[in-house]
Amino acid sequence: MKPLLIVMGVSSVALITAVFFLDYWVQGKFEGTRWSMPARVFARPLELYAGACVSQSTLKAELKALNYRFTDRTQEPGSASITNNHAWLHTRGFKFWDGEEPERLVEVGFSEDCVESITEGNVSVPLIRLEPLDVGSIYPGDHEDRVLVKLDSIPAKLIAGLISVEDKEFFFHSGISIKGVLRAIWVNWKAGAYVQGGSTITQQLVKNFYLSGERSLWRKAVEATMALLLELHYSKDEILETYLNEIYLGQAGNKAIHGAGLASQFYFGQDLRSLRLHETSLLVALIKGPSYFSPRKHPGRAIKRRNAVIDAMFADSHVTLKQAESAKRQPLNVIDKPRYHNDRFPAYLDLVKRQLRRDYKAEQLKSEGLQIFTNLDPLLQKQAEKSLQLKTENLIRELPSTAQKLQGAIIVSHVDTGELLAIVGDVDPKYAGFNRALDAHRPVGSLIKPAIVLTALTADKGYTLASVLKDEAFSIEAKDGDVWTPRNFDDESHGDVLLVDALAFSHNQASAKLGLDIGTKEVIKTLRLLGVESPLMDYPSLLLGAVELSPLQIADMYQTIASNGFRMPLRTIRDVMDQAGEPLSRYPLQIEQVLPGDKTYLLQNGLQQVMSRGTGKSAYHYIPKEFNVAGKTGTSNDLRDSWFVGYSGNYLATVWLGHDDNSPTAFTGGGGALQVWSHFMQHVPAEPLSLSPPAGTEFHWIDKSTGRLVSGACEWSVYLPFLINSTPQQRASCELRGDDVQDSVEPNGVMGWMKQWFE
Amino acid sequence: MVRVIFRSLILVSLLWQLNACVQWPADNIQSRDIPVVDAQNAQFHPNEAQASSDISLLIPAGKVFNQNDKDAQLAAGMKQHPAVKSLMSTAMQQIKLGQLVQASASFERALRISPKDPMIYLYLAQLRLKQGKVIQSEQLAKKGIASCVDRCQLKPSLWEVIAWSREQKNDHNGAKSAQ
Repeated sequence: MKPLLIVMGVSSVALITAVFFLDYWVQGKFEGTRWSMPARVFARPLELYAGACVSQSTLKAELKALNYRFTDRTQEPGSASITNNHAWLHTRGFKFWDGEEPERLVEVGFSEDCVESITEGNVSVPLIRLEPLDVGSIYPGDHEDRVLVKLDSIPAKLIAGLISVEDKEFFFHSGISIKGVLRAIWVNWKAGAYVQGGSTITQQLVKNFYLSGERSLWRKAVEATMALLLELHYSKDEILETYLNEIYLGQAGNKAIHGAGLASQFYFGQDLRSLRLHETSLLVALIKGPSYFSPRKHPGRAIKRRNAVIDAMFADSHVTLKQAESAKRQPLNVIDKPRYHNDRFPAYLDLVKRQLRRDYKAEQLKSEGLQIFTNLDPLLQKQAEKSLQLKTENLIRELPSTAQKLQGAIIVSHVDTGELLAIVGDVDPKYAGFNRALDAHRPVGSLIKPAIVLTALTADKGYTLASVLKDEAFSIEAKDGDVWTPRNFDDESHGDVLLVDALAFSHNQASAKLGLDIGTKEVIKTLRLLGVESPLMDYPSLLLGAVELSPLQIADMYQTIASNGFRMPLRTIRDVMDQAGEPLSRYPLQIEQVLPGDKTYLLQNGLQQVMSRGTGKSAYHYIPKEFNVAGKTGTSNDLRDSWFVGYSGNYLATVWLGHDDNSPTAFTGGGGALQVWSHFMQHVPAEPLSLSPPAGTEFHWIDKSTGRLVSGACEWSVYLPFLINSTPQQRASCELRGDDVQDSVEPNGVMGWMKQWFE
Repeated sequence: MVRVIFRSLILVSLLWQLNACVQWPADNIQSRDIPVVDAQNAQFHPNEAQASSDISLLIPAGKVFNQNDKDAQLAAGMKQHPAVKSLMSTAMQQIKLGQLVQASASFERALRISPKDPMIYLYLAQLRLKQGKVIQSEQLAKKGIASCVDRCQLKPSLWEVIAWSREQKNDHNGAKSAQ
């Protein structure tokens, strides 16, 4: 008798200990999930003010994306009415961390493509800020493969279907349901097949979420105990929410699809909130067997099971007969190409995540309800995506051999602030894989030349834009004994050329000579000042751009040039706000003048000439002739990379085209990337570039082959700026031929354009 | 005796099975506290909110933000956007209330509307001084000078800010050359 008691006593203690352990562990894991709700990411809020270059169609697009209702009566927040030149908005208001934007009823007047007036009642309003567009979520840590949803954003029909089919007693039992088990036995026996399970939703959650592998009686016992414990600690709502975020609903190769939010994207390409009855019923139908009832592999089974779910909902009076009949008639509606995320702009979001991970520990981001405000401009983003797609399609049509391989990337930033406005990482913008904008490190080719020019201008060696360089073949022996012989793209040497023309026409030989004269070490110093942090090899080939950088790194470098010598970090994030609406941190404007403004001005002037006279000329097939821009083409060996970086008065855009396998394309920088850039600039509210020469700058006509002063415009002269005390002294003759002068320079339009610009 | 051992074995195997069938959680319970982050680029520091609300700006501040004051506009040499003026005056209010971080945000909003406006750089540079960010103060003032073109008359004021910033860094020579 005694040994039996001892054993029973020991067993009970062990059992109780086990239960306590289970209890502690059940809570721990449950809490762990709940606190992983993602941080929401927002694009820049659209600001409207008199004079804003926001067209009516832009406003309409933004309002549409914000889910505004377009109606004649704007009585409720979130409605708008647009006619002719006016828009009436009833805004929703938004609590920004730096001030609350109230809900407003305003009338916006347009004139051409800009806002002319904003009035509220009879009062003119100087500025309004619309709600920022929600563009995605960031999951800190381990939930990258989820689209977590809160209970209040799950359609009621989905929950109703779930209850009807999986666990009718859910809201009434305390974890396990005898009634449920009995009913299941009855239904299954009647149907002659396994139609219903006896496990409650809580038990299913325990099975999916906590336990692994095999089914056995022991498992059932543990499962039941844990279900009871869960119900003890958590509410029905909490359990339901976790269940719907964990339930296994599909398979994509080796990637498991968990949760209704992700399943909604995976099967329907839509947000869970917008699913209709026949779609939510399919998701419920899949719970029993996502592979067996797969709508893509076994559509017949899927539709039968889905309709059974709808029938069950009708039997429980969750839907009317009419609704049920109508839903059962619908096709499955499943999309062909599954989506794995909720993000509209994955390439941009990728950089946001990286910048957050760089600056915060995972724990800090795990706090619930963080809101991240970015600089993303959806208008520019969509246009960049469109321009890249359109132009690559065109290029592929002209050269079918490049189809399926031609890829590209674009980065757009604001010239004065360094705010990143758009990022495209793939010709297919929805693709969230290899982000070429950030990760494709490619030889930069001629993009290096501005650094050589800038080094020469800042070196105290008397170089000006009119310095004469020799564009001729030469060879030098590099450190490792190799002989280096730079060649021009057209394989021709051009003899004596001006420094500015070596830049404008991208002459390799002249630039290489210049670089060797000032020293590659000095060029490297300039590159560092411009912001290039990658390792740079001190070889002559550096001067032809034998260095690999990503589009983002190039954008960084040219940002310093475009802002006339001010370095600034390229930022995606503006502010991070916590759940209480308090600022967690900010990324304010930070600049540093790293290069002298006067010499950088000269470089910028040269980059303008790239566009007006040089390798960037074809941009003017797209943008108006008088519209001033600056930029540089870049082509690497064998045309493997086609680059163009250029800027207007407000936007700097960096474009790369090429093949991932590094095979030669058929395009130069001018032939490929420039086309994309120009198309983009043509369709966005770009402002013309307007450079101010430093005090004391003089402009003179210079003979192209001798660098000497000439008396006026003629076929062989260019109009160049010179800083104080650097004007060339020697003169050359240049025969002005009266009327012929106009004709001879007309093809470039240089003279008229120059005169107009300087007056 | 055998029975005891047998039942203990059952117990042990039960516990072992339990161990084998559960998935050990990786995380602990998360803290709900949201720390103030001292991230690489983050600029929010609790102390800033208590910084001096004494403006002592270098240009007669009150005048410039009065929409009707033509003299002030002329002095600035610039025609300003009503939206920019509205944001500037919001920023000045925020400075008065000691809300320096919010004021910074307002100035930056103004910059997005008029990115080449030297007036905004002038005031943002002064705000940075208030915030104790002496280096940024000088840099922003330099950007203001670079933007001060056409009929802009703000260069002297911008140089004053630079001189002041250099003084704060104990760069007396630099300060002198800025004057």
